[in-house]
Amino acid sequence: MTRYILNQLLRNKVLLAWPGAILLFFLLFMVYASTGYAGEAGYIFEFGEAALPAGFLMTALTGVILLIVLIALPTHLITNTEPGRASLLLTKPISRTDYFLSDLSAVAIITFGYSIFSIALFALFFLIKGTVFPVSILLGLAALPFTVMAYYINILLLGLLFKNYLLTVFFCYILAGVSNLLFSIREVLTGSGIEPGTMITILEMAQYVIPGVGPSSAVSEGLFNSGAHGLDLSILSFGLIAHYFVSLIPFTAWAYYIIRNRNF
Amino acid sequence: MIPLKAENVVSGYNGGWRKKNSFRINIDDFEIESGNFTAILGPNGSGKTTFIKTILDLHFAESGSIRLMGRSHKEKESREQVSYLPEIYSFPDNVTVQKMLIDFGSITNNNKENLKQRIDGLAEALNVDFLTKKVKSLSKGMRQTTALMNTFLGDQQFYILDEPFNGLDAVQKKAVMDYMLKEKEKRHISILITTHILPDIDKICDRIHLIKNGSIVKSANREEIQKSHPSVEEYYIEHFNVAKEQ
Repeated sequence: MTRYILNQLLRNKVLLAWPGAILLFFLLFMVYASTGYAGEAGYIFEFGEAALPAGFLMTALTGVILLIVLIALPTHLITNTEPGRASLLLTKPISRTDYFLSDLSAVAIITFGYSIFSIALFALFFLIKGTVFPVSILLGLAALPFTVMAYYINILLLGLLFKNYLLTVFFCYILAGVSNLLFSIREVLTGSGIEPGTMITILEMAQYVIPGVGPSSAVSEGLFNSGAHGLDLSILSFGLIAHYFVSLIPFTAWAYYIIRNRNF
Repeated sequence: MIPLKAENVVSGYNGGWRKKNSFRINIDDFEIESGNFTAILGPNGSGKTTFIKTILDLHFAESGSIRLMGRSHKEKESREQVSYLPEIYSFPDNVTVQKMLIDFGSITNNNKENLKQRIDGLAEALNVDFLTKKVKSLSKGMRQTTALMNTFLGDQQFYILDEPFNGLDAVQKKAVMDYMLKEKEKRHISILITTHILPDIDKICDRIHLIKNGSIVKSANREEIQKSHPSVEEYYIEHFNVAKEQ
């Protein structure tokens, strides 16, 4: 079953735009970027006269990739769970649990595969043109599949609930924004002078319910924007990693419950 | 092994919060013998598809027991020797028929060469010359033949076919029926079939069940029907006309 879903994902032309965008970036960088070096504020890409911070460029690039993922990933899920297709798949000697796990595995394999491809191309660029090898940027890219998986858990649940592509994409986009907002709620409220209270505690607890797009994005951006004075892994705290994984549980469990109990 | 035995099965739809469109099937006792071709006939909305979906655990039974190939129908292993043709199906559109059949066949069969041989064999038996065409370019009859090929691809022992002759022309229908009868003779397969095309039932089915409002109201062997009626069609019309008048 995993292979069947992998085939579907590999044929998904919108999803192919992810390695396509990376390849395009790589070629543009190879042609136009004269060098990459470590400046005071972090790693810098030099394009002729102009110098752009790598953190900015990489954050923009991952933003594009996440948009591609958001548009591409609901397609196979919604198709496979509509009665006409589910009748063909679930009448094979495959349990609903097998189907659910195969779907998650296939998406994870593709996500990690495309991420490795992205890291490899950027590593190649830095080896050829960089003055130093910026491990933090490559590690930032390595955090990308975790953000994608958090998006996918949103898509999984919303796709099963709405059975509609546009509603799934729209509410997934909203939920990703809410996850980011809840993740930074303490900073936002502390900045505005409000003392932590019950309301903030409730909001902080809520961030464990929505798949952790917030924490994984924060790790990526933190690593991309690391300074030039060595790799700072303090952002990868146990609490943050635990937050990420715990936050995936409620939506995953809910989606699994729907798959197990739906009449097709 | 008895391919299917269902006892006291209750299943159905609640039809929203008002329960206005709720529907229940109540199957007291239903059995298919090995090597038998059995038909369930009934008017639209009588519960044929709901019963089939319940057998395959696509639709959950509220109570009762269903044994599929000697196991509880809840176990995935019970479907190892079962293949299903749904009335409404959706295949990927943008691939060739052959690629689509290999993709679906590969879910349970890892041997690609064996699959290709099976596809070629089925294509010959069912007069299929459109394996290289994309699914989206197929006519209704071609799609139905493709769906039948997908159903027969795995060499299973028990086939559940919901309206298998939908959209097929006479020649194609004959090819499908000949294939089924040949497989019955060769491999002793069993088939559960629902169809609206009654003359076909005369030719292939050994036992016929009439279903109405979710319950089996009459069951008979083909020989019994042939003794009392000129055809299955007459038998069906007579029964449901009387039922309508009552």
